[in-house]
Amino acid sequence: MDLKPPKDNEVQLSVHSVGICGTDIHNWLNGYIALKEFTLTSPMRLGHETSGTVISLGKNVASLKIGDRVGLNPAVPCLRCDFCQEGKGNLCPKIPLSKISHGHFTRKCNHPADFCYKLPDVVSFEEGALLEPLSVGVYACERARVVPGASVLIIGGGTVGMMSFVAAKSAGASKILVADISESKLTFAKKMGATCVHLIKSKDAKNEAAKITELLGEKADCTIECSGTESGIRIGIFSARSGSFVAMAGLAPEEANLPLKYASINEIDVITVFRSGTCFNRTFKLLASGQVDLKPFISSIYPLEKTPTAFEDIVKGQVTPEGVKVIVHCQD
Amino acid sequence: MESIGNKNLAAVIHGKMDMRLEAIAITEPQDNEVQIAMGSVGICGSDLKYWMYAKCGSFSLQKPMVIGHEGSGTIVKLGRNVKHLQLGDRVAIEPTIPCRACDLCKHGRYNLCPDVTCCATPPVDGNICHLYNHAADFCYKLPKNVSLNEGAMLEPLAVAVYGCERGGVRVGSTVLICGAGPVGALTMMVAKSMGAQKVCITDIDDHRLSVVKSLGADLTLKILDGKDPKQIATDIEGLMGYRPDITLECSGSDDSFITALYCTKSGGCIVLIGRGSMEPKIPILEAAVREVDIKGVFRYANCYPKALAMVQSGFIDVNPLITHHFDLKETVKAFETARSRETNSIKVMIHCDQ
Repeated sequence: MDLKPPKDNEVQLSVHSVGICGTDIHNWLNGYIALKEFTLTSPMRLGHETSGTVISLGKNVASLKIGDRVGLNPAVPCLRCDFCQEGKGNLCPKIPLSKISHGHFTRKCNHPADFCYKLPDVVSFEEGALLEPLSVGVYACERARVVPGASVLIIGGGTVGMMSFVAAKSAGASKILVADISESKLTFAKKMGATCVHLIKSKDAKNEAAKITELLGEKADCTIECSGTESGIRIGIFSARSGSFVAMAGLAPEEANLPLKYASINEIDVITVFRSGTCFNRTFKLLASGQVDLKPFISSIYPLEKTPTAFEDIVKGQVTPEGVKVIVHCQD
Repeated sequence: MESIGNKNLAAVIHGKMDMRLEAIAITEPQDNEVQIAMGSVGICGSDLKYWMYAKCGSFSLQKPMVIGHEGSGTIVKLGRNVKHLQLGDRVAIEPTIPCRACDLCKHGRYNLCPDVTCCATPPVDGNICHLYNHAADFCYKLPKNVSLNEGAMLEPLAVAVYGCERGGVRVGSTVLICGAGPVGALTMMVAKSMGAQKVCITDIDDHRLSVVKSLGADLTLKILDGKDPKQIATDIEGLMGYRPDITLECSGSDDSFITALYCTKSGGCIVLIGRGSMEPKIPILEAAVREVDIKGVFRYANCYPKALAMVQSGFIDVNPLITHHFDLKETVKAFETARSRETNSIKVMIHCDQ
């Protein structure tokens, strides 16, 4: 594809690493973006977890130089609408959900300079590509009100779950339980430092919640649901402490039977999480500080030409269980 | 002081549709309690459920229980250590009493205390009776300009205040209220008092909609049974001119909640004040991609003083909602009136001092 030069306030990047997100898989499998009404009518390039090198500057760009290594915030709001003005840029209608917006599984791309973050030497390109999912984890912890000393339940040990885990640890959680249906994911979570893990064996949410409560020693102060399944949300609600929050960080099912009467009586709030909004800056500072090491979370690396194979391998469960994020190297 | 015998008449639920007026014992107020000669007690939907079904939600009647929890009265006796109230003080009675010592209580979320008791929630007796004892720290002195009727209305008003607080209603908020019964009406009045710029109320009943319109609702919309929730959401958006920031669901209807999921503005929230079914099937993805939060409420906490302040100051006039009055001896008739749609009752008040 031919790429135009960068506009004012934009930079052009040689794309280095792009992560494959669950949403990308979902979009590829279903042909629509999240909701059926947003079915694609023409081809769209995926990929939004991106890092690269600046190769050209648009006019007025002072914050970056050619050669800078950057990680991207892909969700670029308009900065002028009501949502943006109220600090809810993650909900800005300008960020395409329903329209074609080409992603970064490609060699070069243009991006607003303000939404490119210069990576320090200690942060690899692959870690830079994890900035976006880490920001979702940071935002999810904020929405679940993770504070120092909190006990945290994370349901789902995939990327969102593990990035939420990293964020919860940084936020001072006293103990973190990771639950999943996959043994290998739990083995990895334990290796990364989860206080305890629980293998979900049934769809009996109350039963699973009882086991989680016993293992954790209490109802969870904060619950982050990262599996995007009806079962996961149900288990989360039944495991949460009265008066606490269940943050839904995973992509949700279209419809779900949720125990809302139980949630209401216990004032367990179902808090939704969409993108990461204003958390991106803090996420970058966290990563740049060197306090978190995201390298172990990278599982496999594929060259750009093999991107379709990468998607297939993910769906078939044929990627290594060590790590959670498959990265595409776009210059290879 | 009245003696035991036929003097402490009480309305007691024995089973389904079995309410009897009978004498109950008079006990001395304990330390930190007061004895109250009951004045006005309102009838609530939950009281009706105990009468009709001998249960309400997850609570079932295990033994005969005095009904009623929206009460006010006059203090006739003080237990030891009561300092802030005196004989003769008229008080509104907050029916919930928590343990005060657990973590939730200490965080101010005493409504969620695992050991909380509530008047007319089994097994605790309510207060449609002549004499009743209650924890003094949950009794609020009524100033001269607040009547016993208004004192009794503080309970549903506290529900409304709490719902609005949980929803984050503030200056400039745009609010959708589903259900124009007493809770919906009071919630509308509180939302307006809190500075909401526009409040739209929906209901299936024309009469109730006309009442809330007269009480200050900016917009009303009649909901046709069986209409598609997505279409209703579009109608509401068309009527309001935009999606509301906050939806306060007061009807307890699952369809109404689903409508709210489609209707509420992105980044907003829905507060479930009414109780729907145990596990409704809902379009949760709609909420997730637009960041609409779902919050339930369980009674209220720290809202009685605020409710009293709104009535005392004249910000809210609860009197138009009180449509029917009965003496204690006519309690069964009062309940029948409250139950029947034909009476067009909103709040039925029982006078225990008559």
